[in-house]
Amino acid sequence: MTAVLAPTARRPGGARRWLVGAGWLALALLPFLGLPPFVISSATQVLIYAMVAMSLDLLLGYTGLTSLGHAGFFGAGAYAAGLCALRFSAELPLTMLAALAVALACGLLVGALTVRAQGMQFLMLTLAFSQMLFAIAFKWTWLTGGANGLAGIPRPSLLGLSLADARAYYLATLAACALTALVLRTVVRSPFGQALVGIRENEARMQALGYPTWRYKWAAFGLAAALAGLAGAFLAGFNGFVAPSDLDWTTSGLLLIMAVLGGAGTLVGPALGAAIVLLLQTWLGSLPGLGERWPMVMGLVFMAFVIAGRGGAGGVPRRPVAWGAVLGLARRLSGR
Amino acid sequence: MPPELVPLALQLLNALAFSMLLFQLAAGLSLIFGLLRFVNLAHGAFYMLGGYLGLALAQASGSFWLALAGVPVGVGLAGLGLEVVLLRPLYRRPHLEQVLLTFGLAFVLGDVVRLLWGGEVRSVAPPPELAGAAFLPGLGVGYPRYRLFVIASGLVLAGLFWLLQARTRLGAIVRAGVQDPEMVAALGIDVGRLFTAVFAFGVGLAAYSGVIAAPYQSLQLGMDFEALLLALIVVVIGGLGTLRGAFFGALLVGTADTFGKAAFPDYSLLVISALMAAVLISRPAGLFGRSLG
Amino acid sequence: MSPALRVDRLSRVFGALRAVEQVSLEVAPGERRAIIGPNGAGKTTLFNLIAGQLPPTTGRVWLGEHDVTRAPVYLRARLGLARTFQRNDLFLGLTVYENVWLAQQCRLGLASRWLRPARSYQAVAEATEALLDRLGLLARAQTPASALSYGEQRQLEVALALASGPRLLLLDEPTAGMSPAETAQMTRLIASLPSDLTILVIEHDMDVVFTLAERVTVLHYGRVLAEGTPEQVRALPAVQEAYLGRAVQGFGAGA
Repeated sequence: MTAVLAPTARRPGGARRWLVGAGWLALALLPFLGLPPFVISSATQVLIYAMVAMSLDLLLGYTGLTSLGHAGFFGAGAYAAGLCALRFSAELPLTMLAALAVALACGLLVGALTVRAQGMQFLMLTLAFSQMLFAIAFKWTWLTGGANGLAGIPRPSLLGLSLADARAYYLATLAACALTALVLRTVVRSPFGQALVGIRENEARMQALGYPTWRYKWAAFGLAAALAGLAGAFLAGFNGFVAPSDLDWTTSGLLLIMAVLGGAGTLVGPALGAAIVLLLQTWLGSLPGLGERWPMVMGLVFMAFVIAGRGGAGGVPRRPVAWGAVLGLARRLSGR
Repeated sequence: MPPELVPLALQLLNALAFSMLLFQLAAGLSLIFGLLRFVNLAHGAFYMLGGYLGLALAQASGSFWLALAGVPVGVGLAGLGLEVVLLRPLYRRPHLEQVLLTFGLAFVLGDVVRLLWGGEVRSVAPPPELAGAAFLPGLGVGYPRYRLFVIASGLVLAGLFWLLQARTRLGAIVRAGVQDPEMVAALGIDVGRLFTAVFAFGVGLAAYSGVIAAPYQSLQLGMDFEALLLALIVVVIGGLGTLRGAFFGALLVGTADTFGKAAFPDYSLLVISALMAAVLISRPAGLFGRSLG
Repeated sequence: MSPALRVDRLSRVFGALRAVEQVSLEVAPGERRAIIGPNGAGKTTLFNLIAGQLPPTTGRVWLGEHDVTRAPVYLRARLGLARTFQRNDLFLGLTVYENVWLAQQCRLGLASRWLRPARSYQAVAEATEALLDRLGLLARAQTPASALSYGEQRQLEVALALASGPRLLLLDEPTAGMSPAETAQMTRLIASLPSDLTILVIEHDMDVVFTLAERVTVLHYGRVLAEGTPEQVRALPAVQEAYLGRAVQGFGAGA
């Protein structure tokens, strides 16, 4: 039998890889282009939300789990990182670890209670649980600062080097974003990722094939929560404060809008969606009188997208095995 | 009644009042889900809209009762319009898209309220007929009249719904539609109009509960989402789409919350969450829910 | 040796409807058993009970030595059970290749690997291609399942079931809606399956039943009406009556 996937096979889509590579390079060079500081700040913010949006895409676009409570893990990570920086150490690896650990724990706990639910119920449960996290953030003043949140969070430092400079922090955020993207891309292309797609397409059949589907959903949920929490760590460092609104339904809604607008199921789509939404928000804020109305504008834009058919996981799903199959088959059929 | 039991009896009445409030809040959500098979995430927004509009109409007309009757009808009609224009085109698509649409709508409606009424907290006084306390002979103490009214409203509505559902042709059609919309359509019943009517009714009910709740809790921003959360918890625990589920879920949540607040003032929401988690672990579809295929 | 499948007084009741009632049967390993009966006899419901899509009201199910009465669907699949569905239950949004791939990666125990790209697992790729070739679907590998013809979808349905490497295969009307040529092809395929694979087939096409089945179980109104070799069963007046409404004199000269 012919080897289906010889290592020297040229992977199709080479042009696409160049484009992506160029994109990352451009992002890395951004601080050195002499742009005004607010551009760097905005870009940092975009990167943070891109990270969360991508993590949501793992659930929404790939596994078919529509979570309305993803901001809960984003905010939980932010609070954890903030508390670590305020009370323990502002070293970046430690704040990141705190955020990851707390968000992962929350994700696994909430996931255990929600992933067995179907469709609508899952949706409502994720919303309910994230609002509970919000309530904790709001009420447990001794821990979270209550309605006022955590303030005065210092910029993290990396091995003693302060990241207070906007450009340094941007680069740190970019590195984390790249790491998130890499992890997600790896998972999505793996057999596990293909199983998630299968669950999205037909969960009942997956069970009939022998997959314990809830375990896959749980793992995806935990991973997505952890990555959202990681982004939260960078949010805490960026803003210098964390408020309960960072994990409430409006933020969850914002994340969902980013993912849907950009195109769920593609990873890069939601990242772009984050950029679009944040830029739209900034632009709207500059228009007199309209700045306050951004929830209405976002709501209307979102509704328009849903009606136009781009709602939900309408994006083209990534098919990890597709290219390899094309190649293998081409070789096989040409050998006949 | 022995005096030692009076505080307990009062707390039970409080629990009942809050439960009836929750029931009236959750019933519309459950009804819309039961027939139309999607969760109306704008439910809390309609509730909030009802509350603010109720206040406005009561102040303008001087009559709470007019507001109580008029606002649900008005909001229901608005819901009717929204359903026809926005939701109907989406029925062929996965239900998730309808949910997402209502999600966007919730944002829009919430902001409309903010635009029209600003962000301050408004307290609403009950109408003079329902103000003050009524003396309860059995307990030997007074109890707020308005809370008694809330209890009465909830029980009457529950009874009405049960009657409608169990004894009328319309109820049978709705029940059939919940089971099998395609079959109902095949029987020649205009399912489209049925869906519109049910949606409008559910939305009107949300607005009604907003008017009723306003004197009970003040009007403020963020109440839409608080209400939606409570409604969701009630229907998750009680079971989606069933009237019994909404009623008993509301009773359970209302009682747990009232007694929870008395015992652990800062942790009432956690008490409810623990309750929800416990119910979900043992009965994933809720107490009276059917697990949906 | 324990039977491949044993079902003991299995019943499934929906309100007043007794879909399956006190059904007991034993299928030996490697046996080819046909389940026949008029429409509404409870055949697919029986499959749903065996495969786990439906919990029984009463009764027990054993796969080999394992009591799977309360076992979840995926566990029964892990124990070697595979089935096709009467109305196709494919991954319509995925290509034919990806459909089978999902089954193969699970069978090979590689489904939870998350580090290396899926396409680097050559064992899965080869197994997928081999199976597609066997079923004549190789040329259509890159086609989305939704774009296949009905016959091809039925073939894919069988491919999915076979791809899990089952020991017990439940085929629910595999030739339904197929042309004579397609039916013959499917029958040949089923006949060519390994002899240690136990197969239960729900069928209406008597030619297929006679070609494939060693034993036949007849269901009627949810109960077992008769059981035996195909020849024995079709000669029974009760069976003829169930299908035709009356016993037929001299019936039995071949379908």
